[in-house]
Amino acid sequence: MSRIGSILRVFVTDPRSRRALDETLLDVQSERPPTAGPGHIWWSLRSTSAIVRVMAMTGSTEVARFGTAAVGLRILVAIVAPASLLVLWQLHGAEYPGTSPAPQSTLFVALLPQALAGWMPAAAWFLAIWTRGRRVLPVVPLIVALVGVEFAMVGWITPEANQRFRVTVFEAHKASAPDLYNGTLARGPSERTLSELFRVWSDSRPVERRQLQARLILCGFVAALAVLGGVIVRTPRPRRAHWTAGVIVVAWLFSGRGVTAGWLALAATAGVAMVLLLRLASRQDATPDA
Amino acid sequence: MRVAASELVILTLLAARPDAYGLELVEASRGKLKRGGIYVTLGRMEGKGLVTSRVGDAGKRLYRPTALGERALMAARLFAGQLTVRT
Repeated sequence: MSRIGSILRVFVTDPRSRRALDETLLDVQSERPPTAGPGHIWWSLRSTSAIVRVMAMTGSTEVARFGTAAVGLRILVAIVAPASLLVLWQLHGAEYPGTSPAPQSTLFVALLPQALAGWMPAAAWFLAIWTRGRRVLPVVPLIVALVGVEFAMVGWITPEANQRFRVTVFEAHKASAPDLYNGTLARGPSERTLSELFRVWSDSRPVERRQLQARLILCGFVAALAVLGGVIVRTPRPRRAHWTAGVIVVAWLFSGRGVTAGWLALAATAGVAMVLLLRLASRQDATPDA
Repeated sequence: MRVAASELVILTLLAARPDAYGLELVEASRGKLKRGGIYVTLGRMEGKGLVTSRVGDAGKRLYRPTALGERALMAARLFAGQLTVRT
């Protein structure tokens, strides 16, 4: 829990909020059962609930004090930068036994479109809830622009980059063992552009159909999150509300399961959790006079 | 000053057992207070001057009501008709 604690502490800078988080983490540690079993599962659930609650409650204070942009930037620094470094490190460490190494920089560049396409829903969310004073970005132009970019990314740019990645590795193999590898590399479902997938829809395999559906759903996520963010940021108490909702949406997106088979269940869970947290946030001000 | 319902629960519990720590209050509240949220509320109450805290022997932070906190609790009880006023 100490590693999780140190990550969470990045998001909380207000001294009182940080103390609340530290004390919650201390309680979680002190309640940890010594052995694995049902008690351990119950402890995990209870601990997660306590940490989510303290993050939601302190998050509203953080956003009120420092603004959405500052908190969003902290999330980027705490999650995006380490994740990118991890990918880069893993890529740099990749070896192809018996072959000359593929150019690392080419492989890294080829992976970027895929990463950017995956981040577009989160970008849509952050841009929709972005506030500067009382000004917010207009939702409709935002959706048109972002969905357009995402459509181009998942439709054509990413498949081309994926194919480039595979070809680069294949060429490295061919260079080292020309008698073993020859010919060209056919495109798989992830390397086919949207227009190709549409063209072969009637006699395509299930894996290709799922690929097409997943890409269109990703575009839908961009639009849905931009609409949701736009609605929440225009509520009477946006600062409290949009942070609490954002915690769930962003955590859900970061889980990387947005377009898997179980996405409906995840979406429903995220929705319920979001509503509960919004209720929690709105109740913070509903206090009687003593 | 506005005092939330959860803050009144904490003040009531602290009036009965001063020098209690967060988890102790959660357990004594029988579900009215939640893990995690309790510390945010206690921090807010400390900011309002309703409670004060110190670090105990076991490293846990112990809370007790201030004079203002006790007065706020009395006012809330009076308002709710829980306190009999003799004339």
